[in-house]
Amino acid sequence: MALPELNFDKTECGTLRLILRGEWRLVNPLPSPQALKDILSSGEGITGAAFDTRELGDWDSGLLTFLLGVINQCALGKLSLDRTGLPSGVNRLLALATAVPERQGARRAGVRLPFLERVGGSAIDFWRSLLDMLDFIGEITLSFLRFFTGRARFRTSDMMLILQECSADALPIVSLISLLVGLILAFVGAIQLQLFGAGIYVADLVGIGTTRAMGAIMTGIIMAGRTGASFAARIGTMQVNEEIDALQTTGISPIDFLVLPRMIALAVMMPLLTLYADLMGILGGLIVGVLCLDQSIMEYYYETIRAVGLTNVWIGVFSGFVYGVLVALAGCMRGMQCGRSASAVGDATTSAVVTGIVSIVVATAIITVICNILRI
Amino acid sequence: MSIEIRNVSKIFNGFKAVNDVNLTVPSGELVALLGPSGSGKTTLLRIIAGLETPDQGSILFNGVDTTRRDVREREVGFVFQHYALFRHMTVYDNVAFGLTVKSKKNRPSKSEISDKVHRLLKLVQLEQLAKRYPSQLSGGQRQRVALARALAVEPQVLLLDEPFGALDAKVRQELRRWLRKLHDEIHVTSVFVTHDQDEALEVSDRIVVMNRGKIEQTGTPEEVYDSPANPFVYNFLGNVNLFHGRVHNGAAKIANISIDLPEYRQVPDSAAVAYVRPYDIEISRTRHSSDEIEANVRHIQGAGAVARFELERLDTLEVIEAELTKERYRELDLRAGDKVFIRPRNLRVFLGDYQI
Repeated sequence: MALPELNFDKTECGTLRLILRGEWRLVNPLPSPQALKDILSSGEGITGAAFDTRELGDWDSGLLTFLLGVINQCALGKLSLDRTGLPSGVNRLLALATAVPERQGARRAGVRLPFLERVGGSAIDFWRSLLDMLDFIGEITLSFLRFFTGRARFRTSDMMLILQECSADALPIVSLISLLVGLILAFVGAIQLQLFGAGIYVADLVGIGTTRAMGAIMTGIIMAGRTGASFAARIGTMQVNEEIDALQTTGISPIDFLVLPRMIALAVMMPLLTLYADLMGILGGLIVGVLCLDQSIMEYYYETIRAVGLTNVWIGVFSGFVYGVLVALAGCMRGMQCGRSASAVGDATTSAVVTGIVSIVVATAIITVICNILRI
Repeated sequence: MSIEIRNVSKIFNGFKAVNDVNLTVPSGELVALLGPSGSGKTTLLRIIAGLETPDQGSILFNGVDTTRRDVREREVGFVFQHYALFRHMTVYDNVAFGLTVKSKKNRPSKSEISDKVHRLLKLVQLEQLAKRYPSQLSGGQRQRVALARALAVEPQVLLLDEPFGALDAKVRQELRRWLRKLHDEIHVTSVFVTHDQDEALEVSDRIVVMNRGKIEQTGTPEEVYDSPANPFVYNFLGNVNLFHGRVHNGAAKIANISIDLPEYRQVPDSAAVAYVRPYDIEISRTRHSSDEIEANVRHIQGAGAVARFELERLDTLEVIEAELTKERYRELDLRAGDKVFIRPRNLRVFLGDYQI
């Protein structure tokens, strides 16, 4: 087996002839194109290169790698290259290899940023999102000012549809959840209260618990998952389809046209839904009281009336209003901030629900603390 | 209304989408912004519309600076690539939308609106479909509704963002002609974005070729096609073959061909690339002179008005595209694998080793 061998032969007309002999296989020690570079840098008057492969034995991709190196060297030195001396198979493979240029950056590996840089990046992102939120709230405030002066423009038919979507359409699920929450509250309370023979106070627990907090919170969370997500999806899809741009070029503010009716609808409907949820929760407690604690309906009713003051109901309804505003705000804001791809709509809805629920919980905490301070 | 763009730049996350662009669109003209994807043409259009704000520079409508004016007050009609019709409204409502939402004192009466919408629907040949919803229409019909909607508010400027990009070839062809006719009727200053050179060549009064956020060339379709300013424009407007060679004191040597280039007389020695359109390649079976290039026929596509050839140069193995008339093709009676001699004419030589 003859080892691969590379010789150079300079002809008079300035062409450098590369003579390839032996078996050019990857397993053999292959000459490097570096040798050619050395010759090119030392020798003058070379204007081209050609090949002589009459004594070339077997070859594989090792030869091709070498030849690609030679081609690069020739291109760098601006030499003309005559490939007629190469076997035809080699030429075809070379043509294949050089047909498509290597993609830029394809070899770059994923870079992992250092810890501090990631923290800093997140902090900057957080700050930006806070500014965006303030910006959005500002725009909505302006839009509400336009609404109260009668200059905001949206379609009444759209408004009616949205009202229906966040009231009547939500009734079944609100009924179910509130009823069950009332049942759960009653059961948990009943076990403890019966230890002291105070089973009748289940009505107080359920009544105050639902009207003051649970009714509004559960309704808020249902609406965040249901209506907030649907607002984000609807507005996000319009953003992707460039419908929002279309609105703007027709001379309409998308905030007035899309966000305002949704804010109004939820702010109006959430207190009503909260009242309804309160009733359902009390009904759940009543079921437990009557069926498990052997109380009469009237007994339970009077105990509830005695315990639940109007203040409790008002606090619940006010909370409901606040949650409605927050859920609508989160849904519409994430929708308006939606990117321009289909996957962005999914992100927007997820983010709308998360933002909605987080803000509900924070608002509840704030309202509770305020009520505590005011002693109501 | 004329549009003037002065030194406009726009940067997205460090990427210069539009880089110091200057452009004037005279009143009543139909101008095409042509370029590959990512060349900044859509961004420029959105800046004109006011949907994006430029980081630098200014936009003037009729000589009045409108850079800071809100989209809603610019009175532009915008047609989007994916129509952006309002899905929950009928065709009629979509077109009437811009009028019905006007504030009370500017709003035309119901009958005026109805008249106008029907006139517009007639203009876009969709009168009988007024009661349909967008989802019940074909792509071409939807785009015409979008156009009618844009025209309903009597815009000063009509902007179209790849209006035919999402349609199939046949409908596209039809709508192109139709758009040209429509523009001749209503003469509103229009700018439309496209990456399809045929579309730009066929429809527009003037073409603006863009690449990497910059304008490469501006001119009438003939000017841009017949005398491209640089290799990019040459390559972007139609197929082209490249021949590498050298220029030496005003004489170019491309393959075996020598050409006199007086304009490059002061260049001592430089790499050069010659550009030749496929129909400027002569093919013969026998050698007539020493400056012909030997090539193999690799592939023949005989269907259509001209026969297209893929040839492979024997010396450099580069692939050359050529076009012959049907008569010449029959006369030569070529088959794949035949050896031929080719001779480029009308070479256009540019200095440097330009890579596309």
